[in-house]
Amino acid sequence: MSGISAILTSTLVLGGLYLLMAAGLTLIWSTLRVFNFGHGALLMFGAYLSWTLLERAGLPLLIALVGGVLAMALVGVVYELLLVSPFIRRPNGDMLVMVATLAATMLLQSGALLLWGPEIKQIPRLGSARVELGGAVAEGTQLVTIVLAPVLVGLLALVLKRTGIGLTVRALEQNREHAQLLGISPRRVYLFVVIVAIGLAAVAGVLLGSIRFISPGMGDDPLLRAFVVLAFGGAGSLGGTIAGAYAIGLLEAVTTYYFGLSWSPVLVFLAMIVIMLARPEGLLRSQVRSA
Amino acid sequence: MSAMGNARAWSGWTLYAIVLFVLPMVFTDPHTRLLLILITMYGMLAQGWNLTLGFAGIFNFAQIAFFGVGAYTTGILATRTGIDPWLALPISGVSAVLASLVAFLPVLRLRGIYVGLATYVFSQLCIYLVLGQAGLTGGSNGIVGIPRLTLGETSLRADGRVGYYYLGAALLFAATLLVRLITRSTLGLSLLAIRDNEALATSRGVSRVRQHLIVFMIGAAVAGVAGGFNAFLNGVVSTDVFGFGYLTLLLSMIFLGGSGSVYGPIAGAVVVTVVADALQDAGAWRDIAIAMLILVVLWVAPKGLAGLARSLPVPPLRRAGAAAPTPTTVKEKR
Repeated sequence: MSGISAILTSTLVLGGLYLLMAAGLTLIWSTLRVFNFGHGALLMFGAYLSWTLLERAGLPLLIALVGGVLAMALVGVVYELLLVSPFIRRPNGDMLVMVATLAATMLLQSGALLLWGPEIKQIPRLGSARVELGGAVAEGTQLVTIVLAPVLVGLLALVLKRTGIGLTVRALEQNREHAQLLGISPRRVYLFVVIVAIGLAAVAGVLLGSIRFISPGMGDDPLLRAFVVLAFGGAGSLGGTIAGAYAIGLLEAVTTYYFGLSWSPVLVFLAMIVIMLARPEGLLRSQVRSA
Repeated sequence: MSAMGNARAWSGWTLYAIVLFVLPMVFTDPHTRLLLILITMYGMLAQGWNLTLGFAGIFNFAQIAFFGVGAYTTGILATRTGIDPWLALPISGVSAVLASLVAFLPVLRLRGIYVGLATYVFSQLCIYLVLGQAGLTGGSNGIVGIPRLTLGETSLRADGRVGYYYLGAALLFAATLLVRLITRSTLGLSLLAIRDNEALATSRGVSRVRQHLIVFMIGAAVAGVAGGFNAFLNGVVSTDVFGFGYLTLLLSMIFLGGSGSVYGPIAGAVVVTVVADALQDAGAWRDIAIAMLILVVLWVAPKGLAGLARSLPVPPLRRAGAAAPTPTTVKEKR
């Protein structure tokens, strides 16, 4: 049945994109205890930077895309220094960071409009591979997304589990005071976390800029879906985020297939509100880790 | 409250009313009049939002949705029913309150940042619903041709929109008075108590859900009426009313003026409206300027203009009336 396989492809592509977004948001949330409203704008900026390296500087595709992601990591350093660390220790700091990152969104979107103009752009198809499965076709960037997203997030999980820096991240997640007593410097960990999260968002930006188009507002929709993923999987757990991202991808693919593009977001958001009411700690989490 | 404090408060309110009354006589050109009208509307909106965001400390990002619901209620009533346009304003307030009941659902069980996510998603949901119900709302075309408000035979647009100004000024005055009364009431004090120490407040018998619901509904009513006012003023309603533009503009007003201050948001509304107007032709630079304004205020003066004013040396006049609780003391008790 082509309907089911089309839904399956769509689920894997959407789920992969949302996974890249939500994994970064979850990481920031669980270590810094703040929410990055600017994640969608950072995705957009990463896409534009890669496009510039590719089309204006004329670099080869792979180098341009990796360069764009690395450049965004640098932006991440500035982002952490200017928007997160000045507020995080203040009383009511989480609201200040939320408002500051909202302002950053406005800044990045207007900046992109000034730098790149209003006409939409596109990154060419990544690769020409084509896989056909039961009538559904996944090709080019879609195929890259299906493979790359889980690999990158799996790599992140491995880094968190096995390496020294991963250990410090988890220590800070679990108990900030104790971690500091052990000589872990939160600042270094925060910087690492923000860079990784923004790097993942930039990858999502490149993929989305190839599947659809690049425009200043391109990050808004993925950010909203990432909210829903957090609500679904429980913010702060990578495993929950992975399951949540593909579940939301599936929900969106199914509702789009049967109810159309205009009703799908309504149904997805309603599902989120119902989940938040029934299981505020996230549908997939058995227990809430103490803050 | 001491007699002297009472007298000071009364003279303050009288002065406020006189200033609001005299302003359009000083500024008579149509453009400045329009700015004044926008200031009254933004001032009202910022104060309504500050009730939940500032005083109660709820991460409420649905306020823009209540504004939009109010605007669309007025738009639909005024163009599709034969209802008296003046009735549309209070009905818009009521429909915004109904919307706030839905938006409040997540607040029942969630805290902090999660409320921010859920309420932000709620306002996005409103956009999708408006676009989806194109038969009623005009979809992406919006609603056009909303009739102007009239008083007897005179249109409120006459004489450089002076009628709209006085309507806006009256609503702003009422909103300020409402916020002031709430912050002095037991409701206001209990909100501060919940915000600053929820466990203690709850143990003293304060119901978080009830107090938050009340202030949520009041804030929504203010936003709904402001939305109706906006619809009559512009004559059109589009999904812009739910948009990012209003959201950031209002946030900059609240944080520039001082969140959790009664009069700060009005000062913020004045400054931001004038700045935004001066940069009207600067395109994207205007948004950059407003975003930078928010960031600089957050970096330099997180309590906004109200916080700066409070840190000034106390003038002798003020010291004489020190027995009276000034509006700022409520906040300083944290």
